Amino acid sequence: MTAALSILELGGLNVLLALSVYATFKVGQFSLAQVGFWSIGAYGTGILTSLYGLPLLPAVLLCGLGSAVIGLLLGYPCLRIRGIYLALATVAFSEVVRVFFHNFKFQVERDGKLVGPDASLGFRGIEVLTAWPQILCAVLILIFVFAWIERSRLGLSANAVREDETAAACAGVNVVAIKVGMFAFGAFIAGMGGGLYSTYVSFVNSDNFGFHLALLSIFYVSVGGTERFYGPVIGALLLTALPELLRITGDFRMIVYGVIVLALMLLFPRGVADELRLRVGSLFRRARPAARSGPNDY
Amino acid sequence: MLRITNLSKSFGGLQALSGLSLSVGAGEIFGLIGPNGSGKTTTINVLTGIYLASGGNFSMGGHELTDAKPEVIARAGMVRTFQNLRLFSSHSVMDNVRTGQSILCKSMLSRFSAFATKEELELRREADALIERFGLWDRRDWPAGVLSYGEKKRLEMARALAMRPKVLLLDEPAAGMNAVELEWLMKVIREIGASGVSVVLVEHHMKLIMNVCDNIAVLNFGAKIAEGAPVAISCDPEVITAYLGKSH
Repeated sequence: MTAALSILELGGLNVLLALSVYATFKVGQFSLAQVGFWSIGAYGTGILTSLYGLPLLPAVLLCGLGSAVIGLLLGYPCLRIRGIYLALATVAFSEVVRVFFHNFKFQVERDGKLVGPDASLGFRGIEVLTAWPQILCAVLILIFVFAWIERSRLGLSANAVREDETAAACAGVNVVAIKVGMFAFGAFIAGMGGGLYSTYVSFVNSDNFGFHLALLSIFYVSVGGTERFYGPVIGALLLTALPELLRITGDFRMIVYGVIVLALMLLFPRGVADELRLRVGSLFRRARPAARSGPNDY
Repeated sequence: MLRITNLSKSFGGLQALSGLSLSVGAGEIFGLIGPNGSGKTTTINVLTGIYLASGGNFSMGGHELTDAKPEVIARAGMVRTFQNLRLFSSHSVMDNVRTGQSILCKSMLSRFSAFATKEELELRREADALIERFGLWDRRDWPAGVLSYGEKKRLEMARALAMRPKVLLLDEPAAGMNAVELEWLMKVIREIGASGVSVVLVEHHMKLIMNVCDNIAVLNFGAKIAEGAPVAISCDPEVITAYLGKSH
């Protein structure tokens, strides 16, 4: 039971990471920077709560806002680059952040013990403040926000930017504001999620936030689906639970895991959620009553 | 309505447009023709802010728009279609039409609300009417990407009209259309002009141009070589030379 719960808790945290990547995918940006924001949130919240005794909520919100500001600063110059170049620029950002925390030593004495980030030895003894209720709240709020965005005209504009920036601009969409805004929103989610992560696991090390996690974050979204918000949610939960369910395969676990992920990508190239939605949708896509005007009249 | 003064655009050493001056009145249907590479699409790209003009200026209804961004120009009411179709292909037909309508939202509420406001319902009715008018009613919920070429062309026009333009720039709307569709297109363009919207029509299809345009300008190598009523243009010796070459 506790094992199942902790898988769900980790899954919930990964949903936050996946949604932050999704926010950038939504406007057609392939960003690997979310891990950088995630670790800023993790270290920041750890320091604010364990060293300065701030409660969890303000600490997490502050780190989210801090990440969003950095996201704005990074997002604006990144407007001009796309595709593989954007991926490179954002992975470079994540590496800069990782190396910074690898050397970041900032310790304060608390109750006769030194606490705080100890460079390459990591940040030990973060007060555990997060469990499933906090994670569930964050996930539900974000799902609500994304569902709201996708139903509103804002989501329509964001999708238009992803599909074709030039056509979107000519349709009156403010492309710069939408792209930078969504990038900063993604950074906000990652900063917040990182904060929940560090106060959940109580120990973070810069090596946890390397290229591997960046790849996983992209995996969640591309396996789940990139077009609707439930795609990354399903992807993150699926890929978090899968390695645990595969424990019965013993030593072959990661091999089977890799094969299953490959198979999912081949069977559902748009992601599990979107592919199912479209296939089910096309079953119901009957033609409406015949057109009453247009060139077919003649 | 639309006034272009001495507009030029160069790409490095290539002068794509040089000193183009035009004026299009309200509700006027203005044809822009010329051989391939004569600068017709470049004109539209400069007018919609996709390219920055290298010189000269243009204004719409007295509103200076020369260095404005594409979205500002679109909001001011200058709207275009694309020669090589640029639809939002995973959007449904309805959502394609709705996308441009966001500029019409007067209240912030309808722009950000997830639930349909009164204004939003009004806009959806308008979109429905356009979809019906362009013969896409039975395709209303289909992703734009699966439509046929002719349907996509019509959807582009519907999307542009949904923005209630003052000036509509049509970049080769007749390309790939059959005779029946062409007849229909002429009727629609005339209707648009009659409703007070100025239309700039870039087209190779002479029957369409000669039939619907009030005035025509002919471009060659980025410069205007003739301007006038359709009948006068079709007899202009310089135009005939540009199109057919000189006889020896």
